[in-house]
Amino acid sequence: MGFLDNSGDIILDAVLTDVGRKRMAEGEFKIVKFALGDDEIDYSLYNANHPSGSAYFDLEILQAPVMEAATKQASAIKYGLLSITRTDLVYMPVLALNQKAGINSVLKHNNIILLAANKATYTTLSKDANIGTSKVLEPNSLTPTAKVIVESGISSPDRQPTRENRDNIIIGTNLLDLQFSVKFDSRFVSQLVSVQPNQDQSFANNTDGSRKITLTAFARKKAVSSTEFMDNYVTAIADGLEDLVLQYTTDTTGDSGTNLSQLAGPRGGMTALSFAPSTEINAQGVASPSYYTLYGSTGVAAATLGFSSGTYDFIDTTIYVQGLTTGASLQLPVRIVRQQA
Amino acid sequence: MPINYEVINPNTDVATTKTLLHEVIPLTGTIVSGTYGTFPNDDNIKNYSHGMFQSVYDYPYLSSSANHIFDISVGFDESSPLSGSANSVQEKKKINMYNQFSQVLLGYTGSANRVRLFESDLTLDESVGNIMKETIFVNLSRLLTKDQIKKGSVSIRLGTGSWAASNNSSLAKTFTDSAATNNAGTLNTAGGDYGVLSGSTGVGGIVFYQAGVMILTSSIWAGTTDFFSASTGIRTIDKQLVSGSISGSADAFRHRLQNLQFNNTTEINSSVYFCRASHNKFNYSSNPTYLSSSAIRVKNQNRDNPPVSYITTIGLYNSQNELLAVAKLSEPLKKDPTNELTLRVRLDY
Repeated sequence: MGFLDNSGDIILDAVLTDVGRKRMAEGEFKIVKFALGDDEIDYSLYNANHPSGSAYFDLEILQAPVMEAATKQASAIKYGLLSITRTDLVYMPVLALNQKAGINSVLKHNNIILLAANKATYTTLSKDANIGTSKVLEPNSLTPTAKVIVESGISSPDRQPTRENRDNIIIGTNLLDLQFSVKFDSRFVSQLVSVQPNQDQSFANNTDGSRKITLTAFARKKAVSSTEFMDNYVTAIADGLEDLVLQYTTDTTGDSGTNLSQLAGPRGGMTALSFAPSTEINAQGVASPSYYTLYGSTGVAAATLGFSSGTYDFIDTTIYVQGLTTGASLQLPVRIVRQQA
Repeated sequence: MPINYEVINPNTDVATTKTLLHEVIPLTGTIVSGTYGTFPNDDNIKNYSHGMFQSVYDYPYLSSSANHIFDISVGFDESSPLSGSANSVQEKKKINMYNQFSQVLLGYTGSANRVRLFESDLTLDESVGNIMKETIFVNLSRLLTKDQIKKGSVSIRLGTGSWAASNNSSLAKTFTDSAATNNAGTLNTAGGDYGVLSGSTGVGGIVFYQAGVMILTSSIWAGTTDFFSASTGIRTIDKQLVSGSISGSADAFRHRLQNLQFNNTTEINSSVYFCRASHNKFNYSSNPTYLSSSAIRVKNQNRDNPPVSYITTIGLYNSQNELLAVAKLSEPLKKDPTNELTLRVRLDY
């Protein structure tokens, strides 16, 4: 994929994608809408303090070379531009992986989320002194102990996480994520399990700052093909709850909810997730399923993985989460671990 | 994955156009004889066991880089004086070749429902002086002609001197279809439009533009005593058409082909999609670098600063959000609430 010649007039380099050609062959090629992208742009190059003045703020951005159009769908628009009518927004929500201890949020182990491939592995790891129930996801469970908790909101402490700021910055601007697109490799993960927005479920704190978190109702989510994203990937939609971890003046903990929430500013929505490993990799026993040889590693000593004992197979994969209102996205590195026993 | 789309109105945002693209295709005589190997066994010439035609490639045909450029065959009508001659070779196949080209390009006529005969004018009235009963067929490959040959662009130069002087340009005859245009000088038949190849010495044949077939009359070489020459002897064209094989006649024709040139035509149908980004659309981005600790970088903490985005890519989607086509701008385009952009994406088919 070369760069486009940007020495003259602005030109457009257009190609049909692989799916476009397929649809054309099927006689179902009908374009009905468009979206715009800016994947090549690094906005950190925007220099609002350029000594030569405002004309130079985006000089480096405008000089960014643009790559040729690729025919693979997945390599086209990864993020996309947003249409928000208001022009006075200063902050926009991001997604953050909750890593707060004590609220059953799964904690990363060596910067990666562990998912047990089967019940036997989960039983072993949950008793492992280095792991325990807080650092490994139980496979295919509707009552998971640890969950992947993803929050949507403002990460900057410049705006306090009060209800008023939440109403102004998140609710009033229509930037509340209550649904999340979750994309995962169907070769390794067969199903998404996500929290259900029932009335008894909550992710909040009380006025004294104590936790008011109930994440017990989970359901399996049907996935549909997501080849427009990446080969072998499927998409499932996870429901969310309002993230009502707020800063109260009556808070006796003195931490503005940051003992519960990963976000320092106003919080919007959240979801809690777990996963079911695919049948190709979830077998118990000494013999390693072939996928571990093909896509991962087999017979790895516990010490190498930071466990206490045993021998394991593992596959590393990435799960992509995107807020369906804000477009904010987050990549979750996941290691699917299988005990050789 | 983008989450904001704009609808493309098929009535106001889509236009279709048709453009004709022409390329000059020059074929020099050396590529058909002498460039690859030794005539007549050139490495870019392919003969078949059935012996009904000969294929010419632009490179030794056993190479995967070779492209088929045209085929050569010869034939005559069964009413030709050559038909039924003694010691004839492949007579049945030569008649079959003539009939095949005739039925495809001209069709059938008369109460006996026989194939039409090729004629050297645009009337198809079977006037005796214009009928071409002994012919050489040059089938240009679709790779060269694309959708059709451009009318009025064909030129062919053929050596008519002795076998030894076949490359002598002063003894060559040049035939063109200069009388043919888009509006006149052609006749529409079952095989498409054809025009007449004529030169200072008379008519040399006809060319079917859509089919990419040239029909050359043997009378071009009527005065040539050694149209064919080999260890087996020398032959006039009539003698060669009777006693020579089709591939041998094709060899003789290649020996005398000095130049062939035409313009091809590619018909490009385009759909132009006008992607209109109004002032209040696409001013923000979900690009991860757009935010720094949730703060929009381009706003610089000032709510009065307008949001700004930089467009590099346009994705065209169907109703299932499948990306059907993608277009890239050669440089980022600034988008903010003070401007509206119409991006014109043209897809060619």
